[in-house]
Amino acid sequence: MSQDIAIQVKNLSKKYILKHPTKDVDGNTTQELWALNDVSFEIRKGEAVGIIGPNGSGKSTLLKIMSGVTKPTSGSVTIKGKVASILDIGAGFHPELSGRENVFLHGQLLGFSKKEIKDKYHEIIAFSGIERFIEEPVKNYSNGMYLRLAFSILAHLDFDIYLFDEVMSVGDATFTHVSRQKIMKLKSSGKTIVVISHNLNELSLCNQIIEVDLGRIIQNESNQNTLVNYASVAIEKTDIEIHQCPVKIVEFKGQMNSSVLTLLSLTLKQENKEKNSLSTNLPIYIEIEYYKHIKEDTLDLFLIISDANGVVIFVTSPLLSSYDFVQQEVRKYLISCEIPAGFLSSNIYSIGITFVKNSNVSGTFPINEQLNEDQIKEALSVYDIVATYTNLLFFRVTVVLENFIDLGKLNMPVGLILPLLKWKIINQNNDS
Amino acid sequence: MHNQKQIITAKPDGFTTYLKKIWAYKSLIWVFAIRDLKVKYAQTFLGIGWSVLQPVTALIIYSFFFGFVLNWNAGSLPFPVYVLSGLIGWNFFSYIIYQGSSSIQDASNTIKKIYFPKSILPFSKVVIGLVELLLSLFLFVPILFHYKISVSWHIVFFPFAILFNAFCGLLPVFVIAIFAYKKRDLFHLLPYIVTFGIWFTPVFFTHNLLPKRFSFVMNLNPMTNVVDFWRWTLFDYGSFDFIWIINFFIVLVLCIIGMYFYNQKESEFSDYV
Repeated sequence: MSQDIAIQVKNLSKKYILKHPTKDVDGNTTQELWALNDVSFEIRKGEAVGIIGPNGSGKSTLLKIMSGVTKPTSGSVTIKGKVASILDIGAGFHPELSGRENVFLHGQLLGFSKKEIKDKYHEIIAFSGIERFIEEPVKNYSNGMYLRLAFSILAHLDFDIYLFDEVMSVGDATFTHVSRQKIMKLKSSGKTIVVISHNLNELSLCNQIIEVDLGRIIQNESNQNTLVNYASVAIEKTDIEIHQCPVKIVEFKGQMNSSVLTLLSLTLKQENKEKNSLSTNLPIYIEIEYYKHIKEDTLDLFLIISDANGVVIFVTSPLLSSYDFVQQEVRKYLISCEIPAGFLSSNIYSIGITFVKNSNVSGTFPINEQLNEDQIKEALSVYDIVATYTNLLFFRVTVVLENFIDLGKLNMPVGLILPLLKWKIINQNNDS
Repeated sequence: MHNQKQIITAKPDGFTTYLKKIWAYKSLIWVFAIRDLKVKYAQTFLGIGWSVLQPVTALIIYSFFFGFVLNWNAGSLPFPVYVLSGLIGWNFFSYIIYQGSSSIQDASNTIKKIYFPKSILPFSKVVIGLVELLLSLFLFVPILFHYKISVSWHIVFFPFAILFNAFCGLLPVFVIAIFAYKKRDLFHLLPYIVTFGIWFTPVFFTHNLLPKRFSFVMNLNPMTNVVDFWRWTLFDYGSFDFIWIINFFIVLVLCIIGMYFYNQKESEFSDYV
């Protein structure tokens, strides 16, 4: 084992005996369950590794073995350094004891001396933000207070290797944020981190992704593609197609008719030669075709681009851009939106559309004149949402750059979008 | 311990490695013991007083029925002193058996999430039992004062009596844990050992109450030795019996063997509790 390897897993297998025999994949009756089946990998010192895979794929068993809680059936794990295994936040807490007592109890359970904990005690309490209640028994704590205290203990004691089992997904937004920051800090200070998670955002912190299913390693890669692949497979399992090349959709799931309009088609276009991928080196066009049924009102739309988790990345609308057509007549409209080259990232995007109508044409916004705040409010108030369509189409884009740098290899997050913005040198003199 | 290179394989730790691990984690024995004591008396008014109240009640009942109603006597020792000296040792034994055997179950949440050598758990129960034992010993102060009895110089051997007593409690804990972690039948044996065992141990009756031919059989029960040993060390009651030493070493060796097999099995505990 070379010097810079922190964790080496060799031919690791773990068998559980079920209480009741079941049929296995091949249809044989068996009472054995191989939670892990001949798994091998290495993790270098200072790496952040994400373990992904569906529920019951053996991820947690892997972490349990690494932390020493359970023994493998065969194979070995070699670990160099002090390990913090956070299989469950606050696992060592006793509900009857006070927060202060639990800090010491938990710290000692994790292998620290009373003195080491005492030295960090004030930092731990300050970070947790529950100084006022530290003498109360933790059974009276709210979930959030409990989590904060437990995480604070782990984050302030000095380990070499951190094993996290889906711990960040349990807290509220603040907790998630704080724990994420802390993990990034640990990572930058050269600690080895292994995270089990379903949250792709969280996993984007990792520079190596190990995908596990049915107790085996499916992929062990170091770039963003693994994550995006994983997300697409997960989405496709729910019978949703992810388009990877130009496509025109005319049939939609659900009701696309309303008294105001009918959505006719949605087209994803790119003028590339191969036509079998969507890449970022050329603009991507989203064309929306619809029929407007009503005469009196104007109709406008918002295009909403979200990521695979449903987080809105950006919203765009002809209303917000330079607006030079009024859609008032009853007829078919075909409008197109250009997403410029060098804007999207290697990721999965979903398209949603919200139509709005404006019953007061004279108040159409924006008007070429300068408006004051009240006038803007008034102009905006005349818009009503008439239809909202979410997840009309999933598509996947690949980054193709002329000066291609693999950000994943540089240990950089790739991000939801990767816009090529304008840069220039303002000062290149030697004097300061 | 943590900082070295650690290799996890299917094989259980060797016994010496295991003993080293227990040594490295020894502070946890106190941590668990202190935790349990705090928890035990949390939200109580009498607090630690409850530890003393229980043997006091037992002492009164036994002394009343056997000493007063049945008029049993213990020769040179007043009957309550005789009963109390047996009772404290027996309580220590039964506490270790009950608490030690359920300790793995009780800590299931922790052992499924955090690694430590599992023997730490029964050991910490011994510590708690010891604390309660020491508190109970204070009961002797007013009683001995009342009967004007002084303590024998044999008390220097008292720690050995305690040690013997503790090993007698730990042995069944290890044996039951080895066999009962998958199928829990053996746990149902515990009440038998504790409730009926007292009738095979001279806690509130004396040896001479039984026919002579039974005395050998009685000595097969190590707790008989323990209780006799207690009275000998504290009050020079009865005479030193060589069989105590033999039984002490038999129990000690069995206890170590039990711990060895406990070590062999304990890595599976977290999969079954």
